[in-house]
Amino acid sequence: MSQRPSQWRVLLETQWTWTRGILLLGSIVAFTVPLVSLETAAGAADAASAKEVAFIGTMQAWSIGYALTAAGIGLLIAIAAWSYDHRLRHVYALSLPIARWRYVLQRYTAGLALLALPTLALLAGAELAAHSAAVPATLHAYPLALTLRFAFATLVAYSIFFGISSATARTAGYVLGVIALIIIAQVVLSSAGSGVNVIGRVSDIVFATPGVLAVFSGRWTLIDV
Amino acid sequence: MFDAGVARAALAALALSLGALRTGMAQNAAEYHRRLDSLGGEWHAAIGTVVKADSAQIHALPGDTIHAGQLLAISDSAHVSLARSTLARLAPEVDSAYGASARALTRRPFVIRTNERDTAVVVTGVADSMGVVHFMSSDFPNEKALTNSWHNKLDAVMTALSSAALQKWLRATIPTGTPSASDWNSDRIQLVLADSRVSQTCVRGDLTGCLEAFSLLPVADPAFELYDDAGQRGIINAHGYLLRQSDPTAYDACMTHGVRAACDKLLRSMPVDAIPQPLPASLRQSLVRYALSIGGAGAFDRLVGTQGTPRQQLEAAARMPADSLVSKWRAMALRTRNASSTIDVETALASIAWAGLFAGLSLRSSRWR
Repeated sequence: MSQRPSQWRVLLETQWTWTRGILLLGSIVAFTVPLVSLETAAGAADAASAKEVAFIGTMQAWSIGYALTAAGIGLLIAIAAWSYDHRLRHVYALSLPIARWRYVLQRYTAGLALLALPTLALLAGAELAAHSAAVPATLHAYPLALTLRFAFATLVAYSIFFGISSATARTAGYVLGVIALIIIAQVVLSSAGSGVNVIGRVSDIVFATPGVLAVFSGRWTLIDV
Repeated sequence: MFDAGVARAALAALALSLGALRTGMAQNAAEYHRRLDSLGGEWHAAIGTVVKADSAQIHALPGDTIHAGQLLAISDSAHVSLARSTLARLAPEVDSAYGASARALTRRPFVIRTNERDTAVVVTGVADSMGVVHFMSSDFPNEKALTNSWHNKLDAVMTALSSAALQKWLRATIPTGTPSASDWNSDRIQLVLADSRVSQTCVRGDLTGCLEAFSLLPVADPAFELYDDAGQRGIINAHGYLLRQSDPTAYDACMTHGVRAACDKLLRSMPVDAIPQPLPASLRQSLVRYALSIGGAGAFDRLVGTQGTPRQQLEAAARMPADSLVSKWRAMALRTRNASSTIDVETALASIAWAGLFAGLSLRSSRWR
């Protein structure tokens, strides 16, 4: 007698079906970024007198690549987790003999499990780059730390967009409204000749620890002193 | 330092002297020199008054004179206990670090007194044999802050015992104590990121490059021997304001069009002292500290007591040739490894908390109702 798969596993499999294209592409990008950054850093170091400085500077410049990859993967997986529910007006979910919060939790954790794939791809790429002969002997590689940062960044991006996607249109409207209000306030204050930098202050709060997007800012350095 | 009475006396002396000078406009050269000498006398008398006043102020401080080993402190009554405990912390370190040279400290008492303008801090310094207080600072009145402050003052006082050549080479105080893992890590980062040609060759294992980077080998033409093209342009850029004024044509040709001859001309127009040292002073301090730590007993005495170049003084302190010392220092510095700054615990915990918050909010959502 065959055993029926658990509900979570069914959700995982359906989410995998919906997102495997995104996951495959995201994993390829995550695997590639460390290797490409190493290649460009080695090239920059060859052309510079202060090789270590040039190497680290170029590796540091790739921070945005890691941050964007993490944010993009988190965003797309979160939106994909809800896209069919939204399209079918939640009929499937309503037909299940399960509480709403339990269903959401299963969707959330299934998405989290899928995020392990690009994270592992990044770890593999980072480890390969770390053991390359192109890394100057005086510098050190931190593939695990970089992977951890990537994992946390993906987790935050995924959670934010999962939360927004799961909410009502009104809630999404509130979020957009707050962002619009900040921009309008800045425009009005600037037009009035005020030196108050609203966007700057909000950015400081959001991007500095323990801000919600703090994990995206700062150093994403695979190779460092 | 200058109380109102002393200031008035100095001003009066100066005013009298200037008045005397003014009435003698038609004087001859001999008369002029005589009056100048007179002015000098008045000036020195005024300074003497100030020094005596400072000295009197120090010795007029209420409270005890505190001894601990070779160290001495003069304190007002409010801070005797703090001064005593701070000296007790410093004294053992002083004896082991400075050896016989520490005897000089018996003539240089620390001074601590209440800051009448701000009671949250105390005023501290080191008095010289004339009673004038040097290295004055405002410090928090706790043992940790005062120990740190007095430690720095000790370094400054003891550095003054070294030769002018060593002080000129070091351009900082002589540090003491065993370097910590954190010190080595900081040294490694500074060495690896130093951007002169010789510092980079040192990083890659060239011992001559290390000696040149530490300015322990004579270099005839530092701008050309220690720096490559990029480094030379950096030097010209750093002195751009003066060089542009002195030779605008050459400056533009060098910085805008990269004309080699123009850059060379500008570099040769600079005095040798204006060419930056290939390594920061903190790394020279680190080398001195390492030499003292491996030199064993009497290392500081040998460092300040040896006549000759800084290289010879370092060799005497460490009891080994300079190339061995630098080689060992380099190996120690490059051996360390710091923790990654890519992710810290606070950021990780904040990320988990934010993710949990958004997950929690989504669980409470009533989208399908």
